[in-house]
Order: sequence, then structure tokens, then C-alpha cells
Amino acid sequence: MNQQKPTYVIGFEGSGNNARPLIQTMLEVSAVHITATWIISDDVPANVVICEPAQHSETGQHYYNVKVALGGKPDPVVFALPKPFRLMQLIELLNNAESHFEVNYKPAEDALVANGTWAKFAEFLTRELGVQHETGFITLKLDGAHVATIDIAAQNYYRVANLIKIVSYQNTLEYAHQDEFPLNPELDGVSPFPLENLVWLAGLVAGGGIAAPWLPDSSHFILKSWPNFAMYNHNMKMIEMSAKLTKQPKDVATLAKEVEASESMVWNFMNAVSLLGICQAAEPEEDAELSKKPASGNGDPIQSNVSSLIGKLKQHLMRAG
Amino acid sequence: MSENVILIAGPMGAGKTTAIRSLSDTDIVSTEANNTEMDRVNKPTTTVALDYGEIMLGDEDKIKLYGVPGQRRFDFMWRILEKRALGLIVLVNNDTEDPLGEVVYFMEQFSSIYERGGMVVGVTRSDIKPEPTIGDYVLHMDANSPYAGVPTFTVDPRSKEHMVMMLYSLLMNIEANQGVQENVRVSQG
Repeated sequence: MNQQKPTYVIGFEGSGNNARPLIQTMLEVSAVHITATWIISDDVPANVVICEPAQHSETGQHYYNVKVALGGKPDPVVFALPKPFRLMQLIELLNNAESHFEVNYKPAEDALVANGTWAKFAEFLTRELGVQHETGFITLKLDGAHVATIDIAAQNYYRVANLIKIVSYQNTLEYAHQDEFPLNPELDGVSPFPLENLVWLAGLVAGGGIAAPWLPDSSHFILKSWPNFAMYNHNMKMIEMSAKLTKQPKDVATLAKEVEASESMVWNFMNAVSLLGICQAAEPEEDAELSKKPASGNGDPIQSNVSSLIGKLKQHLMRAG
Repeated sequence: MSENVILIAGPMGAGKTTAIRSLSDTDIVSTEANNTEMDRVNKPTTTVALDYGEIMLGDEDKIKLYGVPGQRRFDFMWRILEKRALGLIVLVNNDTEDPLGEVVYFMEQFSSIYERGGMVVGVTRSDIKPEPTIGDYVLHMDANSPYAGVPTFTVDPRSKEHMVMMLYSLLMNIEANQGVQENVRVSQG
């Protein structure tokens, strides 16, 4: 069986080129499709061309295999990518594009997944990623001590494959930031690994300590809601950042100082909550307005030194291991 | 010695007693009796007065954990405990009849604690019944109550890690709220 992967090319047209660094970064994060290699090229025609909505009707559709309009509306022949888009949306789009190619240009070497059976897919994963396969589940080794199990029963296997690639990517980082996202001990055994947590982890590592390209272009940010930390690998600093960012917009430098964390850690957190869709840009001048909202509880009889209590609780938890 | 009271409230069967057992450094004091509402919640016993546990923070400080009975007929006790409480953990079992309504109900019952910033929501048994989702809870609280921005998590009350995460989030939220209020006081001169 010829297992050579097909290569598809992404090109940009006009102002769509503005999205180029973002898509390049996201391609690196997602490591794309198991059956294809995606590259970005200046050469056209390309398999996928990304452009602004106004441009997609001006160029002959026949010129390209698939055309993507940034921020465009769904169209029978043009894929739409919301703007700003997120990692999962790009993966979804590439999956759709590859399905399109599979139907129209199906290469002979694509036999590995040609019949779409789970058995073939599992065989591939076992060989390429060193994972174990059980009926309905993929068991994935995260590191020497931790195992995650992904319930694939209800999942599109292209998506699962891409998410597995994200985990593989994470594992190549030699855990340089391991203290920033400690592995959840509950991943031991056979607990299903929430796919959303993989997106969260990808968000934490993708920016490498600086703003990821999908972050809104703003100096100040606010959280619309708290991350569901029971589902995500987290540490206490992330809880502290959430408490502060749900109350007032803050810039990264200020937040880092307030929670006594490095700015790179704060950027990683921002990248992750943004990928979850719960972080948004905010104007600094909103501080005064927002700070008036919770101004209740005047005359509260309970005068508890919460900061002192938190400090002691931290020490208690550290002693308890 | 300073004492700090955290309440754990929610409907019957949400896991309040279990949560206190997960958090407490001491043997918990429990007041359980035979459940006379087996038709509503299928468990043999239920709390009829209070559950009590402690987190010891060195020699001088402790956090007192009170689990309050979930049945409405015990609401006279809620008023007494509310005045002493620094914060509230609302637990709701996702497989109860109206989990979204239950959360808002208990938040309303302890509204003064919310105003101090001291409230957090834990959704239990979401593995049994995945919906409503956390996003549904957040939207519901934003749309149907004045209680926006409350930290909301899916939790397993048997998990000490989950319960500690909730408690820590609760305290951080109170502290952040106090910081905002302090800023307002300063800006208002």
C-alpha cells in the first residue's frame, strides 16, 4: 500500500493575505489532517484560496478547487470562515475541503482511510502515534504516567485525528511549561478525555508565551464567564486571573503583576480562554463603568480578611500536597 | 481565633454532604435521617438539620463548612446561617427536575451573600445527564436573575480536587470583588 500523503496548497488572494500569519500558526498547532499535508504557498492556483468576502465573486470559481471567504456567509461553492475564527473552525474547514478532494480527486494512496472504517483508522493510529485501540475508544498515551481515552463513538474521525495531532504537538514541547498546566490526575485510567480540554491545552501552548494571532487586537481583555476548570488542566494562578478578569478589563502587564505571574503565563492563559470563546477585548475606559456594577454590600457586617484566608488556604493545600 | 463560615446549599441529592466530607479535615458531623421523599430523590437518607466540617488553617484559623438541608421546609435555618456566612457554594444535581430554576432559587434565597461576591455554582451528576450544559447555566443566570458572573463548574462532590478548586475560586472571587469595591470607594473620595 502506498502511504504517501497528498499535499494540498493554501493560497491567499488580495486582502485575504492579512490572515496568512494566523492561518500559518493555526496550521502548525493543528498539524492538520492525517491523510494530507497542508502548505502555504505564494503560487496560484492553489487547492484552497482564502480571500475577503467581496473578492470571492470576482474571480472565476473554476480556477481553484475550494475557495474560502473570510467572514463570508455559507455558499454552495465557497466555504465561509468566520472572522475572527478559531482553531476548531479552521480544522472543520480543512476537513470539509479534504472531503471535497477525496470525492473529486481521490488519490490511490488514500486507501488507508478509503473505506472509512474504524479498524483501518485505529491501525493507522497504532502504527503512527503508538496508541492503543479498543472498541469505541482510542487510548492515548500523554506521557510516561498519564493515559487519556477519547470516546470516538459520536465523533467525526477527521476531527478526532486532528485533535490527537494537537496532543502529539503538545508532547513535543518537552514540558517546558509543565508547571503552567499540570496534568490532571483524573486522566489516569479510562476516564474519557474531553475533546474541549484538548482545545484548551492547544490554546495554552500555541502562543508560546506571547499573544496568539487569534487574540483580539486590544491591550485590555475581560472574561465573559469562568472557564469550567473542573474540565481543564489548570493551576491556582489561572483561578486568580479568572476572578480578576471577570470583574474588570485588564492588560497583560497589570494582570501579571497582580497575580505575581510571568507575562508569558498570562499570555498563554489569554490565548486559551480566547480559544474557548469566553475572552473579549475591552476598552480601558470601561474600567470605571464596570467597577461601579458590583458596588453593593455597603455596610456589610462581615469583615473578613479574605486575602489572609486565601494565603493560609494556599499554604494548607501545599502542605496537604 | 478567626472563624469563617462557608455554606453549601442546593436541592436534595445534589451532593452537599459528600462535598463537605471531601473538603473537611475533621470527621464531619452529620444529621441524617431516613428520606421520606423517596419519590423525589432516590437515596436512603437525607440531611435534616446541618452537616458540619472544618478545614484547619494552622492553629488559629479554620474554615467552617455548613451543609444546609435542601428541603424548602427548612428555610428558616437558611436565614440564620446566611448572616454568618462569608461565602456560598450552590450545588445542583443536573438530573433534577428543573436544575436551572433550582440554581436561581437558591441564589435568591442567599442573595446577600451574592452581593458580597461570595457565590459559586457546582453542577453535579452531569455525567448522568449532560444537559443543561455549563453554557446553559451561565446564559440562564444572566437572563433570568441579577446573578451574572458567578463561577460555574461541573464537579464531582466526591473529588477533593474539584471541591478545593471551587472553594479557592470562591475566595478569589470574594477578594476580587472587595478590590473593585475598594476602588469605587477611593474614586468616590
